[in-house]
Amino acid sequence: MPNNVLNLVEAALFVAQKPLTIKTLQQTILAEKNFSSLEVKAILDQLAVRYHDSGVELCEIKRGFEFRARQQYSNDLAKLWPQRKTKLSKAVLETLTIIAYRGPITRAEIEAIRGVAVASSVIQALLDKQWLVKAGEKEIPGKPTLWKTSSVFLDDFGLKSLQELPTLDADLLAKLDKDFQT
Amino acid sequence: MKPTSNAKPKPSFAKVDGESWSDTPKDLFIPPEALLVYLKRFEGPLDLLLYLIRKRKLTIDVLAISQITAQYLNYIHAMQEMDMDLAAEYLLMAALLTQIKSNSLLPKLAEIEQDPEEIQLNLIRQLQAYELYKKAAEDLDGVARVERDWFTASLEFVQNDVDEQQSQVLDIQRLSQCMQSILQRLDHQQHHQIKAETFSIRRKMDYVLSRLDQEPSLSFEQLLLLDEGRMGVIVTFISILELLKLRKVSCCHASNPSTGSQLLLQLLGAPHAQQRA
Repeated sequence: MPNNVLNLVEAALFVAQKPLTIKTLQQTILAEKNFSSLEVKAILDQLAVRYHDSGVELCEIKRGFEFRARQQYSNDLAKLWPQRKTKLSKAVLETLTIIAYRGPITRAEIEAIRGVAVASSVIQALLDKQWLVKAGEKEIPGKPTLWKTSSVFLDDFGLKSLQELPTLDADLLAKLDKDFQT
Repeated sequence: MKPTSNAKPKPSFAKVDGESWSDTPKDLFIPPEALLVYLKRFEGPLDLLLYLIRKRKLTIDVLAISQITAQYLNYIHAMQEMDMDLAAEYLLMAALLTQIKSNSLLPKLAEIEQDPEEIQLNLIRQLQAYELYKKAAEDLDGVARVERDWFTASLEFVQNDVDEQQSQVLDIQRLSQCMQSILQRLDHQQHHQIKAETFSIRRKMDYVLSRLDQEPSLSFEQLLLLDEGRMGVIVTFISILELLKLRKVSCCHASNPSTGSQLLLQLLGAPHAQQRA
């Protein structure tokens, strides 16, 4: 593959500010080249080799391809943002978990599991992170919003699908009533 | 070991049946601003109280709910300016406590005899489901996530590098945005004109006069057409003001035990006009 094509794809992945799929690459910067998706994949593989001895690496995630800093430097890189809060509050983390495993789910259903009210600020915090999307409304009085986790959530947690979530504790799951399990 | 009554929450943060507690149960989170309740058999955060009742370590029958409620309300009052979200979470807790308590006090009626058990069963189910997802939340927290465990690498896109063709595309986008906002503004103005035509004060004045010509007197309500909605009420009111100013009608206030207080309107100088108190 000529170097200029590799360079172009490399530049696109850096400036796009979002992951790029093979399809997007085919339709945009490579539109005139008429590359097959296999050929584009080959370009990406070749590009990944370039970064073997580098602080960044090319990663394939749910929404496409993107460059990431190598994970081994994460602890040191975090020092660039000493003010940034990386810890999620208990309420936010539990609400997110219930939505990830049980979604689409309404706020009232989350409250029924957690036993306390889900504050608006919790939902807002998850929306700010773009981890939640609306999945329509439940067909019951009041038509409450159904929430589910987004593709950004999968990417931010390095998951390709919800199937890759950590498996639920088998013992605890077995204790639950049948109608409460799904 | 026994703390004095004004001891700080640490090391002993609660007192149950005269016994002081210095460690929080592992599966219980108590917010730093938690509501502290002071009862005969329990002193400590409301969170812990509910936790103990749920775990059946404390029976609710011996607790004075009215005291909890009073202290809870004081707390809500203090919280109103600080942290409403926390107060909202407590609202559910306090309601739950009151429900459990009232269920334990009420005599069991045949019709609702399954209720207390149902509530307990639901509570157990909820706690089991919660336990499951609390564990799952810990596992999920262990999954590597962006900005904590790894970082994306990207570069700033510099405008100068845009070639001519792309900058034309940008212009077209801006142009269409501009056009859209003009169209939106036009829509708004047209909307306004339609509204103005639906209700005419002149026409409404004619309507009021013709109605009053047929009846000796009518109340303001009787002159309204329900399907005209809010706008119709306002236009009718304005036309009555207009007619009053032109001295075409007179208006008096009448109160009647069956209909309440009313505004009564009559044609001025009409032969069948009569004074009513």
